[in-house]
Amino acid sequence: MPAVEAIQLTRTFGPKVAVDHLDLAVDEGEFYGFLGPNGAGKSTTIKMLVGLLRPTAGQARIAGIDIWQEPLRAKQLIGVLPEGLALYERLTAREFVRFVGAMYGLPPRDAAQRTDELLALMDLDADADKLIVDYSQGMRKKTALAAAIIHTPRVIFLDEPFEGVDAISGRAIRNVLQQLRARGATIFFSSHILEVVERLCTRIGVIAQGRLVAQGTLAELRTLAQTGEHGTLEDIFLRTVGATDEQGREGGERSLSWLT
Amino acid sequence: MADVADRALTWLGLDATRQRALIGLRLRLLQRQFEREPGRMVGFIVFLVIFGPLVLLLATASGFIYVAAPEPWPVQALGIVLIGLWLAWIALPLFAFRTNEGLDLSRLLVYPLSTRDLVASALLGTLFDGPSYVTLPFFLAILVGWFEQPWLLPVALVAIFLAYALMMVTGQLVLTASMGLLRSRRFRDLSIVVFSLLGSSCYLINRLVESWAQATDAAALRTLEPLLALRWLPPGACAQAIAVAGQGDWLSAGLWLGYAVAWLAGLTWAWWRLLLRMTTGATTWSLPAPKAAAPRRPLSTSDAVAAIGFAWLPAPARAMLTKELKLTWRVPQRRIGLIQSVLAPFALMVAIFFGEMEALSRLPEWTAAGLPAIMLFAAWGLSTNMLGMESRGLATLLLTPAPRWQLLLGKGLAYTLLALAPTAFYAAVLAAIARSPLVIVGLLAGVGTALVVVAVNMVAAVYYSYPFDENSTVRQRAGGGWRTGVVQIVVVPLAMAVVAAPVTLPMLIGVWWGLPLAVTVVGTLAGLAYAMILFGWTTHYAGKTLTMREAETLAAASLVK
Repeated sequence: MPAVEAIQLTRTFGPKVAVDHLDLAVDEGEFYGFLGPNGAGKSTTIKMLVGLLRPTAGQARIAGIDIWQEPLRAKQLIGVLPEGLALYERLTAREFVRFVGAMYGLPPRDAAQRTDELLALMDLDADADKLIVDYSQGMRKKTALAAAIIHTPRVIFLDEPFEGVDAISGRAIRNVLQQLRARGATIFFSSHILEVVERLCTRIGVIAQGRLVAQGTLAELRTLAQTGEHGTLEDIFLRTVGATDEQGREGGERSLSWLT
Repeated sequence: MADVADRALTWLGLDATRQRALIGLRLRLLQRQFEREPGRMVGFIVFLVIFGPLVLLLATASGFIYVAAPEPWPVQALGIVLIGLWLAWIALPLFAFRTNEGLDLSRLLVYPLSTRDLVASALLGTLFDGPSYVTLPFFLAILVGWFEQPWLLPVALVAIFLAYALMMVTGQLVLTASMGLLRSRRFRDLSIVVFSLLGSSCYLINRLVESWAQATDAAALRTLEPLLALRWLPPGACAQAIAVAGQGDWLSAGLWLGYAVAWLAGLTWAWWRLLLRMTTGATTWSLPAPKAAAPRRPLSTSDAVAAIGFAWLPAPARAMLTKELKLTWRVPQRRIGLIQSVLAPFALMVAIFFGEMEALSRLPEWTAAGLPAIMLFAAWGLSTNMLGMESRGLATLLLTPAPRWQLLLGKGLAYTLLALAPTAFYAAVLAAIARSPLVIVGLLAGVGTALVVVAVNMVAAVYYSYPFDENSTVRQRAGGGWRTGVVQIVVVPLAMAVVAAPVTLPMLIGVWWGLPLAVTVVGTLAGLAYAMILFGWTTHYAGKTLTMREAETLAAASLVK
């Protein structure tokens, strides 16, 4: 049974089709990278998979549980780092992570102990009693990640976890994610940082204009995109999303008339 | 025409292209303020309709004093008017800074602009600021006031020009100096609270002013000569120049104008230096950096309340209650509701003791009847849009698997507690004065009222939430569309009145018709029991509904549309 499953998942906003009959399955223990250009439908898909945005059509399942039929059962299994982070900015990081622990039903003592460990791991312990509103973007992201994993979820959804995070924090986050995966967690994450996706993910899905245009391991994607065995994820990405202009030039090859 | 303006700017050593771009930017930002939040346009029109005539009235009154009042009042009034305008020029940009991006010069520092260009753009930008238009009628009144003494006009014109320049430069100096402070989150929080409370404390201020006026000897007021002190302040010197010129002492008038020019030069120099410091990266005034986090207390007050008084609650409900107690204080817009729930009973006591309500003779009855009303308004204010008030955190909350009725239970109890705490304190004071058990009966009915009010808001929140941005610069943004507006303004109050009637009527009937105390107590307790049952049932109903409507509730309360 897949850990994450989207069946004909569709979402429209007025005339715009943000996600178009998306079929996707992620197996347990996978580290699944979800790529796509800006506005391709990554965040919309994640929101529908975690129960924050109702699909226009289709189903979203977590470990076989339809999140729109049994939301609380499904949510017990997941941890989410949402787009925009969704933090209580007037709580301190310590208060926030403990609060989320309580929401997942952790006994207060366990929640407190896990919070302290998570904040130390994220290098936030010195600032743990400052209000989140006074945090930098990287600190906020680490706080949100700590909250997302405090209950050791089976499936973790991460929307752009490395955006705005410095190299040291990025390393800390990567280590935590690898530890979680080693414990059997499934990780589903979207990112624009292709190098990280290339390094971490066991399987990659590419979405463009709301449709899954490619999916597979890095080797499979190389074959699919015909980039050769040394093709980078960037090459694959540019080929699969068809980022070319009227003259057939790839996005990265376009230039400014007054600079040539 | 544009050519002439460009040449004039170039002659002044300014870059005409940049000045045009900066003025264009200022105009566009002004326009965007209204486009981004159409409600602000309505506010602006209301402001014009209410304050426009008030400004004109005050300016006319000042002109009348200049022309018709006996000596020494014309010049004294002139001094007061100029100082008042000067203070307004200093204070208003500080508060407008929260909403007017154009006032933030620091945003321009990344561009290669000279200090001269920055100064010029700031000064030209004041032409688009409200205070300029408030000032104009007062200046016209001064000219009219001294028109009958034409030999005074040159002095009056120079004095007015200097006063205006002093207002602009002082305002900009204070604004630039406090840029760091103004951008701080703590100043923003404080200004939201202060602004809102100024409005709601008008009644108390009115009371205090009335008492002061009654206690002050009118004859003493007539002999006051404030200009004796005010003349040493920059715009006061301008008024003093006109005053002494009116007495034919032209030399003194010249000296006072020279004194004002010296102020202008000094303030302009200080502003210039400050801008230079800013352009070279030095910081301006700011609040001291937050101290290193204090050693963690094992238990905060909110934690203690939840741990001791509500240990019986399920863990998510208890965590929710604790969080609500904390955030009601820490989120400035929510803090206002809390402070008002403290001030409202105080206003009631002031009303009682100032004898407005023939209340002292029937203190116990009035108190008993007043307490449910106070609790109603306090609980209403605190619990309105209770899910939208979660702001950005709502998504996190709805991602968790905590039973929704438990979340609502924790929230509901927190609001009831917050409404009860200040009211209970005042009730205790009034009970001690009135020495009547009726006050306690009133408080019990008040608790019941708070519970049903919160219950109504719980249901309204599930169906009709609207966005709330805790980082916004205004108290509350209404963004839920007309249907939500109608529900919140019409349906919710009606529903509250209907469901609160069975709670309050038994107590009110017993108290006002003088029924035996036992009958009143039984009726009130029955009302309280009804309120508790309704609260419990609603919590479960709203929780169940929320589970099914989470995506819709979240979309309605989302800050990003």
